Amino acid sequence: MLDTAAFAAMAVVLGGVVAVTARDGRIVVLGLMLAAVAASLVASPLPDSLAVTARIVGAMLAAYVLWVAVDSGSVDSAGSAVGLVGEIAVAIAAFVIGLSMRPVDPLAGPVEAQAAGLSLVVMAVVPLAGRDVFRMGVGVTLLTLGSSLMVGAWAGPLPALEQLAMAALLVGIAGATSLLVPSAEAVDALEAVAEEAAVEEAARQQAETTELVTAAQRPPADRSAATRRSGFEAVASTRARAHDESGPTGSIEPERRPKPMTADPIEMDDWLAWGAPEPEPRRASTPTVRPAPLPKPGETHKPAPRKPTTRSRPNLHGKP
Amino acid sequence: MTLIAFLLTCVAGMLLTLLAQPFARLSRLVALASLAAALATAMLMNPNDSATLGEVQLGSTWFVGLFLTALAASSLLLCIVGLITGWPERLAPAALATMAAAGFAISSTDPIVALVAAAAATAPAALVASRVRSTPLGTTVGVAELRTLALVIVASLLAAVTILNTNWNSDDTTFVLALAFLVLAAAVAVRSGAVPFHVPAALLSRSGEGLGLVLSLVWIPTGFGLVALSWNASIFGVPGDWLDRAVVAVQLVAVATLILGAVGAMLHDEIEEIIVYSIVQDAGFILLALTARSADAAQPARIWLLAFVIAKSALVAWAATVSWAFDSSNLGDLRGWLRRSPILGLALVAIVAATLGWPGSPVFEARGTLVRLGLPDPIHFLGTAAILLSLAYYARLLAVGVLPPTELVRSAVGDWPHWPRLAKVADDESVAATAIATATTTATTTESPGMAANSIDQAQLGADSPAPHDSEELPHRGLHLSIRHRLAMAWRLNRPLQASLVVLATALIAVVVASGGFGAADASQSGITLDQAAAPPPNPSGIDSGGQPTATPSAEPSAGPTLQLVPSIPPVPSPAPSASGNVSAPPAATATPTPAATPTPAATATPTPAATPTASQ
Repeated sequence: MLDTAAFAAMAVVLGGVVAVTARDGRIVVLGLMLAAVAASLVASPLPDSLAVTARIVGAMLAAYVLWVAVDSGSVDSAGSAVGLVGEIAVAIAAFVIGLSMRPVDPLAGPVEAQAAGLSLVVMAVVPLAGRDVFRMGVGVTLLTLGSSLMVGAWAGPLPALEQLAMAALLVGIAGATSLLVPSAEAVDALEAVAEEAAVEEAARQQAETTELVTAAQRPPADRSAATRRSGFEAVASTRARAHDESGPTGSIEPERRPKPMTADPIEMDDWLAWGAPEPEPRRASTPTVRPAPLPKPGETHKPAPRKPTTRSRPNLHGKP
Repeated sequence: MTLIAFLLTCVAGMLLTLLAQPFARLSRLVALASLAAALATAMLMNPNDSATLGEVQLGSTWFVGLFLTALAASSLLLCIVGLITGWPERLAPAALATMAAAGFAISSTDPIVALVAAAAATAPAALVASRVRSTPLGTTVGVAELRTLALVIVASLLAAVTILNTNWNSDDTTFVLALAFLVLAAAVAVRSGAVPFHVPAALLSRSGEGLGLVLSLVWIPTGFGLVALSWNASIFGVPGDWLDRAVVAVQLVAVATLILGAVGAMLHDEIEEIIVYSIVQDAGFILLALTARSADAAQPARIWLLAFVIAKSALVAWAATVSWAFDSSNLGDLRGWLRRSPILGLALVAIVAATLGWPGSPVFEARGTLVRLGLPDPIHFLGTAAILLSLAYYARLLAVGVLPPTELVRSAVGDWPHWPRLAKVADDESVAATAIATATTTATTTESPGMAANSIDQAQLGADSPAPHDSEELPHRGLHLSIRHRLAMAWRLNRPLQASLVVLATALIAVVVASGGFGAADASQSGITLDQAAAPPPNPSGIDSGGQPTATPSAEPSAGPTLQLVPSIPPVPSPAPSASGNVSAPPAATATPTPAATPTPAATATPTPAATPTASQ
């Protein structure tokens, strides 16, 4: 016969699975709320009504804070990398292990709390290892819920103020996540800035290379050996880089393969234009927030191979 | 009741400040009023106050009141500096939230409440860090903040359950203690930016946080460190191989922080980065207090934390003021800053004195004691090396200040007092109006707030006229200023002076605290409420505690609380004893004595005979 704690523990795990696997941000929030509400009931005996009410209100407030951030920013989760079935299998395995292990003997709380807590902690590991701020917030929330359940199993029922403090902590985590998650507009703007910076960087590199090639092709009397050597090296390295990026089965036609060092600078410019970065296609209407592909400080931009077709730059400012 | 008043003031102030955010002036007014109210309630806090809330007893001590007063005063002074140099929008609500959570943490007698509240106190750092979420650094800073929060929460809960529970199903329970110690120290290290976890702190310094740096790197780590230090001697003071290894690991981090933090401060040229590395270096002493695992380290650690809070707040305010006054934070541009701003120079000297102390001062002795107790004998010289390295980068800042000034510094107003002069005869008021409009447009778009205001002021006064004259020398036909207008303009002209004076006042408060003033020396002996709850119970059986350190009798101030610790959790019906003879331990600190021969000195509800198998392990 299953008691309340067992039902609540299963609801906690179900909420955790939904929160980790769903891609729609609102469903993620609903999963978190289910886990947080049910977590307050995984106790034996049940806490007094005031403490349970505080936890439930805290869970709903935390879910509301996240909901507002998700709803206003069109923020979605990247979902699980291992899929729904994989997450369910991991959650069940952790739950079973939690039912069988005894790190504290005897347990001061229900064993279901330990099992559900371990399951949530295991499910939180992958989101915490990523770089998606929203998924990381989900991971922190699950980790906190799981840890509190394990504390309840090992240390016994929590008094009312501890329940209140836990509720405040959940609200704090949700608030921090909603503040730190970048809005879709911010991600768009960052990507646009990154594209512009990449185009400028490619143009600057092209100009420098052209200048060096020109210097290398001057009559010997007009240039020093060092200048000549540096010009040749620049041309060679640029060609090698562009060739590497296109790959052996890339889109470069045979006639556009690198020519000998005596290539005309104008042809070289034309060839180098292939190395200019290609703006990534615009995202769908409900974008998924993920880190913008920004060049790190001190890292030179690696231009992506560009298709030979002429494309106009994206309209970055929304002007007609 | 005074403790509850402080907590309610902080919570209400935080909510009101957040609600008033859309209205700039109202938000500042509410924020300053809330911080002032929090400061007043903290100063009026009764050292013997106690209240029971949700089955848990909250109590204040002299040190609790002084620590919260230091936090509130630092917040208020920094926000006043922010009024002049650039208002930090979210600093005030974040500070109020941190103070509320820290107040709960250090006044609670229940370990779980204390540690959960201390973990919750780290969440408001997101309020400050979210300022950069729309910049390229936003994702990195956000990820770092959330990971830090996760680590702090896990460390807090693991430490809490370790402190409460003695029934670990393990042959060597010191492994669990070592794990809890390691995670707790890691949480303190990551939150305070200790080397090698300093990258998020360095990122924050590059993100233009300004005054907000102090919240993430000073106020939050000190509050958390204070709670973490409570059980240091009583719980983690037991001998054991695992614990010894964990202590060595933390010692390595502390040594790296003390040395490399100072080296980082010397190598960087941006003032914000220098300040951040200076804070990081001094946070290494919190780790040293953890590694000491001795009751003798408690009092020095507390007075160090008090001085650390105020001195580093003053240092952050100093950096923000210098950057604002000279419109640059690069040392190359700031050559000669000391000649233009001697008051800021005095403030920096005072900050150095408050941070490092002087021979015989409580802070100097505290640093020495923490190095002596926290590090092995052969490397005690590192304490002296840390002081010398600190002096080196502070001397570099001062040396740059006395060099011949750059054009940028020469053109700045500085903190010398100014009086508005009427410099030209305004025959045509439209000319003056045009000049003011031009100055307003260019200044607000291209210059820092301070420089912009200064340009506008100069345009209004005609100070940039090619032939300045005093008002007494030439009659004025079109531009007559009453004394009231002159005072108003003098107030605006002297904003750098005002900011410098506030920074100097903060630094002087830090010096007084570092010298043991304001009752800091006495209050640091009383500790926080949790210290008394976590103190080892008396040993009625007379059995040797096996090397466990005992609290040395200290000159407890009379203001210390006389709390009666009651079980914070209703006793759980104890199941049958296990095969090992252990009995269930209710997770609460109780006044019931426990034989000291148990491996961990956490209080239990029922006395355990000293000869049980648990005790013999």
